[in-house]
Amino acid sequence: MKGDLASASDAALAVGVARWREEALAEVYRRNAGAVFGLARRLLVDEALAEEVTQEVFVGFWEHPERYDPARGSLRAFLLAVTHGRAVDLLRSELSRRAREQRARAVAGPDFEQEIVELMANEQVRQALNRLPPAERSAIELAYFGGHTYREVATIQNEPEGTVKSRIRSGLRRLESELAHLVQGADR
Amino acid sequence: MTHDEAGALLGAYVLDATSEEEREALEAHVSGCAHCQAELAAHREIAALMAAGLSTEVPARVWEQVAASTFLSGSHEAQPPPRLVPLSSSKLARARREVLARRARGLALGLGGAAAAAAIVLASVFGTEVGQLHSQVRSLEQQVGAASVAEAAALAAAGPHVTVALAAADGSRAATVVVAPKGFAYWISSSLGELPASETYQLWGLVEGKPVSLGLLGPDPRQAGLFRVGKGTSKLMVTAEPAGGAPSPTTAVLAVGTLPSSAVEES
Repeated sequence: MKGDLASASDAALAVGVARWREEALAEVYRRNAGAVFGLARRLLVDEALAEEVTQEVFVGFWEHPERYDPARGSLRAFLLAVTHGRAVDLLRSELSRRAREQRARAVAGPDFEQEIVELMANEQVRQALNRLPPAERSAIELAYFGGHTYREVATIQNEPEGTVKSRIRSGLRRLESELAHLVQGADR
Repeated sequence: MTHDEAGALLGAYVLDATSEEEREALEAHVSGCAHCQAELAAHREIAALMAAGLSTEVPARVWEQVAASTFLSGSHEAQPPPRLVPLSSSKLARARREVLARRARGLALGLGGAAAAAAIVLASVFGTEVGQLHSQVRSLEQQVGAASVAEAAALAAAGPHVTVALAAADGSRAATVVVAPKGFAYWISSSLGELPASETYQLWGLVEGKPVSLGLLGPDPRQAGLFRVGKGTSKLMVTAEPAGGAPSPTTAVLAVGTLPSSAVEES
């Protein structure tokens, strides 16, 4: 059973979880928890909040595996999208003042963006980001890693909102064409 | 929202960088637009690649909390093996509804049928087991050849053993258990508070996803306890129960620890 699970497709794992197979959830966790926790911690800074979000993401998947549609991409992309949404909700809520204060200090560091890029273990992703026009890269990073809205990014970059929206979109498209070979197929 | 308006917002939407109103308007459009769905899916994969570089070790307590809040919900009872075929999410939802419906039927029928008889037998077996726990401890003491639990624990800790830390919900260490290779296990220290005399701490092992009672610790968790762990036990958990103990956990898990699969030899 263990061998099967280690090579099971995302869709098969989701079916396993839908049938209350705890070992399927354990395998989903083994594959993805590191990235889920890492992303939550980057956004929230507060370690305890990041642990809570990680826990919520996997308990949520256990309770609602049907929210993941294997036809629309990898399970990892789905779980990370849930993680990002939840972390950003927390950031923007009044309750997380503590996290925002901590984060403000961390973000105020001189080279926040460079720090992020250095954290990118994946060399190809890092290089692709570095090849983006700097304004596009910065817009994507401020939104994704900083949890800023495009309106906030527009203020930070001192550009019209429409410009920022199209920077984010064209940057993502550029990354897609460069990194297409790294994206796992939905039916892996 | 027009298709072009939606398209202009898609990138920001994937990065959760829109306002609430924009998000809702966009989702309304995307739900009926295959073109936008495809672009959205592609953007999501890129976002996931960017997050991969942040991947980091997760504290063990996070999984323990996930396991405690999912596997103990009673939703994991014997189910058919997973079908290793891709299913669309609507099929997933249906498969799950069927499982739930089966469980609901089983519970309803159980009141008058064979399942009820089985449940009564189980309850009485567990009842006996709980009642016998104290005398079991005495016989365990004789088996390990020590005059007291404390002495036996000291002997065990001097030989090969595995130390299991039970973590509370806040991540702090709530208790320490020493497990010797033969499965004799010792509750040696705890930071849990003392319970009123009408309650007891009860220790559980998770065996094939189900909690199995390992013994009662009494209201004072600072007292050493001796119990026996079977080979298939994957986790140790503790709850507070009414004084006589319970056949299955009736309250929230107070602390959880993982037992390495190598901890217990053939028992």
